[in-house]
Amino acid sequence: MPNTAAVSRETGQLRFANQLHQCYYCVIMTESYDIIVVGAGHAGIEAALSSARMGNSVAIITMDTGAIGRMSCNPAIGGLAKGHLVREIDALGGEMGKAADATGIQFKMLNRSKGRAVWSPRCQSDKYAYAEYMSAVVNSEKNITLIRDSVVGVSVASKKANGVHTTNHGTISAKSVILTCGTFLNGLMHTGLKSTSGGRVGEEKAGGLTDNLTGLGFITGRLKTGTPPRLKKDTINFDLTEPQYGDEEPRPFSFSTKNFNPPNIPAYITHTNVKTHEIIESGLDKSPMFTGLIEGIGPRYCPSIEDKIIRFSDRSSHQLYLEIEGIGKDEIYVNGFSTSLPEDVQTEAIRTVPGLEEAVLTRPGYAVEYDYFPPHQLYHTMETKLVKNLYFAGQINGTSGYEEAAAQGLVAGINAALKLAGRDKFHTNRAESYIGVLVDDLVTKGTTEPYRMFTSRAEYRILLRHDNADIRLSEKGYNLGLTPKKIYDRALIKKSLVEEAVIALRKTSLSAKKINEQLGHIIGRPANKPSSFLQLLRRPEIKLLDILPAFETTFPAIVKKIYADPESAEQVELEVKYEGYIKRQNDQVARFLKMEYKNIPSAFDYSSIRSLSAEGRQKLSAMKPDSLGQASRISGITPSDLSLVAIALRAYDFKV
Amino acid sequence: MAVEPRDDDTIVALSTPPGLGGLAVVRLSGSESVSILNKLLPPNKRISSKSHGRALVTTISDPSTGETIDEVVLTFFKAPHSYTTEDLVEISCHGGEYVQGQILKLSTAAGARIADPGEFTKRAFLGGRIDLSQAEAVADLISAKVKSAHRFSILQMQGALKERTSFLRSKIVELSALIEAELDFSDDEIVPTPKEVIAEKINQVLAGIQLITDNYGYGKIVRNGAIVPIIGKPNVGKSSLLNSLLAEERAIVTETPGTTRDSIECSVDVDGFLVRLIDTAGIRNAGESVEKLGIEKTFEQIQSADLILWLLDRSSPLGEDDLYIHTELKNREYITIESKSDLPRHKSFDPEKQNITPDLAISNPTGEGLHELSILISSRLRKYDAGEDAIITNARQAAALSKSEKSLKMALESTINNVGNEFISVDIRDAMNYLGEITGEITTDDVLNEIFGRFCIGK
Ligand SMILES: Cc1cc2nc3c(=O)[nH]c(=O)nc-3n(C[C@H](O)[C@H](O)[C@H](O)COP(=O)(O)OP(=O)(O)OC[C@H]3O[C@@H](n4cnc5c(N)ncnc54)[C@H](O)[C@@H]3O)c2cc1C
Ligand SMILES: Nc1nc2c(ncn2[C@@H]2O[C@H](COP(=O)(O)OP(=O)(O)OP(=O)(O)O)[C@@H](O)[C@H]2O)c(=O)[nH]1
Ligand SMILES: [Mg+2]
Repeated sequence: MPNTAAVSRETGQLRFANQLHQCYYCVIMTESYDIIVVGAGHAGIEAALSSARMGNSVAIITMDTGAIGRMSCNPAIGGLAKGHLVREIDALGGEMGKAADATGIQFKMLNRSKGRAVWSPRCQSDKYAYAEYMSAVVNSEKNITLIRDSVVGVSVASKKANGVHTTNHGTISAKSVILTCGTFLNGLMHTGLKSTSGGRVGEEKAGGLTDNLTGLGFITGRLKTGTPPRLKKDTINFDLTEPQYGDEEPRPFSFSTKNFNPPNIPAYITHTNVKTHEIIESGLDKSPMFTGLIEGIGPRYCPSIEDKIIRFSDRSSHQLYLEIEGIGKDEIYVNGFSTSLPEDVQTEAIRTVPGLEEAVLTRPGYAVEYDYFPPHQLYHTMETKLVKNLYFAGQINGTSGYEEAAAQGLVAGINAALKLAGRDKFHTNRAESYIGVLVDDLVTKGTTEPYRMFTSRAEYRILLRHDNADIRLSEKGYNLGLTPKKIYDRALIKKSLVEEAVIALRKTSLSAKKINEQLGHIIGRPANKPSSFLQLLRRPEIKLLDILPAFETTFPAIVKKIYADPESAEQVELEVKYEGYIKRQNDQVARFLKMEYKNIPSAFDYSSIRSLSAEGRQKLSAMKPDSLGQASRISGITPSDLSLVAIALRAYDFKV
Repeated sequence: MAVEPRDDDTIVALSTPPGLGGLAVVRLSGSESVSILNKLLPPNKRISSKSHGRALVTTISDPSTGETIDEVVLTFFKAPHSYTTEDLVEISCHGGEYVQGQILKLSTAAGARIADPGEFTKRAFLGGRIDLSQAEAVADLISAKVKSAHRFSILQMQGALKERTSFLRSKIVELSALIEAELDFSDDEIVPTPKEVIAEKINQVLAGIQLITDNYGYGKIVRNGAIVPIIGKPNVGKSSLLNSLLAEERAIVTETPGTTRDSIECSVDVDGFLVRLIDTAGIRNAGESVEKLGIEKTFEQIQSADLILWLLDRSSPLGEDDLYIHTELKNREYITIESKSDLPRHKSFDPEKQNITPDLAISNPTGEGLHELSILISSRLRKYDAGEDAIITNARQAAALSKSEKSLKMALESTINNVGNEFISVDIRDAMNYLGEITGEITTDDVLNEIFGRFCIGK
């Protein structure tokens, strides 16, 4: 492999320090990399790390090398469905979970009041520590070269990417290019009626690249997102707010994290009131949203405070969370108060909130508009359909959120590496992971508004739990060379212990007398006949821990293993209690997979199917689905279209 | 939600034209065909994997009630030695619509689904049974049939039905949103919906389905004609009434009770409705075996009837047989007719005493009451119409409605039993998938839209 990576890191840093040497290094950099990753946000990091760890020389080109892994908005990782993504990224050998564990300041399992199948981990992060952690990991990865520059175009020959054009380093060549430009493409920030160009407060926008890509034939669109103001910590009276702590027994994101003992720093809850709402309403004539200044489509699950007040005018109060952005740092994030109103209105409104009467804004909230590329232009590998060896990942695809970005970055990085190595593509489907759901939704349906992960997007939610992400995915990660052997082995043990335990529970029973003696205090009515342990455990009131003592007398070895590994105990309990539903979902999955495995060759010609509806033909030709299963999920494709394709595929097989 | 996978489930369809013919053939194809059908057969007369190619005489009954539907001849073709190359069973049954309808209904309840147009042929092709040159022909067949069905469905999607399906759609989306919101957002963002409210919403959706199902019955009446048997004990004048309504001598009329042994069906226009009048064998608790068979058939016809004309002969005493028939008519739609009104009332003809109220009196020789009867028949049939010109006619849609009903009932039970939302949602999603057949596909985005519209979400 031709490699400039050896010289990379130190020279890379020198390069930033010393403008004079720039031309000299330009020359060096005409030597090519295997992969160029544009951007060092959450997507870029995972893309670069995975492909570098798979043995490629990788250059990260980013506008601000001091902003690696910066959290643009909420200082938090995980949350419902997003927490699942982080666990999956970890099981596949990604970095996000480890970084979150190392820099989290409060951990909480969300949805604990509901069934375990929908529990999801979240943490609040020290966003400075998080970015430092990521920066250190990226810098210590020997195959990665960091280059500070702005990419203005992708270099393409015969419909294949071969490098990028930059502002200061000319053209840098590579075999593959991954774009992870986030909110920076023609970024335009709004506070009140004042708009400034930029991708994030204090950072330049990326110009030129959008035009270059549309010139290559890509379709672009415009989206918007927003962020709340930050407050000066010592101007807040926390006595008037209510502290909210994380879990007493925190659980880490990463399957590798040991001896987990993170801080538990509270967030503070306070509320808006009628006065706040009046002030906000009075400022609407200066709102870029309501005056039509902003054209991009925003995320409805993350509405601005002005949005909430208008749309839910019957509510006289909205909850706010004051979150610490970093230990020892002076900035407080006002979760729930995203806004693009003028700064004076923001200040006035904030000061009506209990505890914030004298609050000083360190920076106002703002909205940002940016270009994105509707993701139906991609394959499941994140490679573009138009240009070979060019990949898009992260917010550039219309998603929002760090976790969604990281997941795509990982998929893109892995696939770019596999393709260069001539290996089969990496794919995880809707029945295996949230990552699979995310990618499939994006490439099959595209998106017209910022896309966020929700558990309801996953059809097989009961199977895709955060707690079994390692069982589901670590084998794949291990085979790619990304997941440590220890994690994979552990998943195998977990899996076999569960199987072993379920069999043993099924075949051992307890007499009515023993049931009453040992479980009498838990069960409602006394038992009058013997039950297997499995039947007992199925009862909602009985936990695995309750029956272990009795179970131990017949299967001491298994019980010992369960005690030694509380995570397996959790799996056993879940498998038993949810058996019926798990079986049902497994049946659904089996049916789903049959369609998924009916591959459609990429050269398949839909115009040869005479009877296909015009709409069906047009959509299928444009989307080029990989399988009949994917074809079935394209909007507007009917069962009869599918039948016709199936028949034509069969005929195609005859001919080939 | 995605289009259901369609090539691997077990399908069922009638392979002879519907209606009252001599024999009909219902076919099941797919890996589950044997296990599905066996659920409907007596334990000692089931299909085994060894029965390939052999005919089996057995009876099909409704597993939930034990009621016998028909004596049938089954032929099992084991994969890949069948037309479709899948396990395939041919059921030869009696031609009546009731019987065929029941067999289709029971098979779908047991796990099969109604085949799409051309689907058996399509499977035959996919299995390599028919050759390449036929592929285009199959494709054309599918698209042609689908096109005509499509045209029809657009036509029918007007007025009341359209309103009703969109009502149904909005209700199930609302229900799903309540369930999903709690799973997708944390406690401090969303106040959980009490289970009573969820149960109430499920019931609303069920009611919405009911409205459309009612309509399905009406659509069938308009398209295929209403099935209206004339029943009563022997000699009450059933055959005579048929002849009167047809205005021609079709049925044999004699003074001997028990004349009619085999039913005859004749179509007639009654006040704008296509009415399929069926003259039946008189019901009595005696008679030799041929007559008994005829009587059994009459009971079948009572079951499949849209409306029953029940005759009571005023010139003879009201007897045991009449009372027995009365109990059989429970929960059925019928008109009680006092016949032979030209003759004096027998002194022991006292229906009112038995809580039987004749709707009207008729006489065949004088024609008294016949016009009123026509009007009464049409007005009773019109009652099936839950709206103006709304019609659901497709059996596949009907199957989808009943499957979604089943899933919703499971969801209702889970709700009442306090099962977690993540499980209730499994059934609600199934219901939503099935309803998509009628209301148009319902996607996660539809549900999310509802959530965002309803709840103030997002920190
Ligand atoms: C104001 C704001 C509010 C947000 N609010 C929310 C929210 O409420 N909820 C939510 O879930 N998410 C929110 N986000 C989104 C979240 O920050 C992103 O989804 C996530 O960071 C995307 O990760 P990424 O890797 O795709 O891009 P980013 O993290 O944006 O990183 C992009 C990187 O690419 C670099 N770059 C871009 N273009 C070029 C170029 N041409 N040449 C060189 N380098 C380039 C940038 O310097 C940067 O390092 C918000 C973002 C912003 C800016
Ligand atoms: N006076 C009078 N006689 C009638 C009337 N309707 C039928 N009858 C006579 O009653 C007898 C039986 O008539 P059918 O029409 O054969 O009666 P049915 O109910 O079909 O009898 P089965 O087929 O034997 O069950 C015949 O002699 C008819 O002429 C009527 O309205 N008035
Ligand atoms: Mg007769």
